Amino acid sequence: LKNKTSDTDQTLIQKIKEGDTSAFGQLIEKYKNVSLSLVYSILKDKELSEDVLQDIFIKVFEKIDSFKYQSIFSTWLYRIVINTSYNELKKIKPKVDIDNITLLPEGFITKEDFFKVENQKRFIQLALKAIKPEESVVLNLFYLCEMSILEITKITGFSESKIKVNLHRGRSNLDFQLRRLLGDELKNLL
Amino acid sequence: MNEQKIKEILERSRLETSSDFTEKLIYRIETKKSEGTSIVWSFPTILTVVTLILFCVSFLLYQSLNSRGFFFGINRNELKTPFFLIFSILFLLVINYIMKLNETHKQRKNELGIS
Repeated sequence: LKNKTSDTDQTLIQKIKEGDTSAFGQLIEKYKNVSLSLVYSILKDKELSEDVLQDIFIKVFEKIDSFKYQSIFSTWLYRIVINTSYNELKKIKPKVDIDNITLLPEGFITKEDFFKVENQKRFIQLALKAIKPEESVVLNLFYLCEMSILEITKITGFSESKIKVNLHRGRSNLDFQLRRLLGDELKNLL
Repeated sequence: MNEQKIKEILERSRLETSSDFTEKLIYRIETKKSEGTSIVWSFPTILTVVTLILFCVSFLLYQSLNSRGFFFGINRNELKTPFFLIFSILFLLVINYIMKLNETHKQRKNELGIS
């Protein structure tokens, strides 16, 4: 378990606290893509996720003075990312019903389509879109952000057992959705 | 599917922000910072305050012109009409100016995408 903000982050945060906006730009560059994946895992809409992420980073900039190095910066950041995304999900839920996008279209992939890397990325995103937000967010935190279960409990507020269940269900559902989407081609993925 | 494959799949799925994401964000932050130090623009408040000031001035002027006497050798009563004509034009010009400022302010906010 990491328990300290990296020296690079610490230097950048100190500069931001002193009013250096360009240092914040460097911090954004480092965390923006993983943060976007986390927001997307909850909201399931790329354009909306980018807009929400902009607001999240503004919130982070405004609150950075309250960051006292008691936790790792990424843990603090991802907690804001996830809380804000869930709040946004509550607002849009009447408009976008996540449960209604759980079915993926079957057998629409041709072999030529499949071998293009960009398409593979799209297929994986489609499969992830069909997974419940709490499952995909835990999968992303565990595999993409390489967070431990303990760190995930701090970020999401979920209990350890709930995280383990979501990890297990997330893996099975991702596998199921990819099989459903790619059929026999799944073995050629990656 | 094994753990390693899931990890690779998730890494492959990593999203990327649009190319101008950071630039747009820094611009929004800089704007917010500069707005924080400027006067807060509230159209209804400014309009009410200006209207009240103008009405107070007009009331005082009315009281002063109602009294008998001369002002630079001219009967005060004769000054009423031209004074109120000038005052009305001035009032309309000030309201028009505030409305124009409000429009410019709204336009700027829209351009920056600030709600």
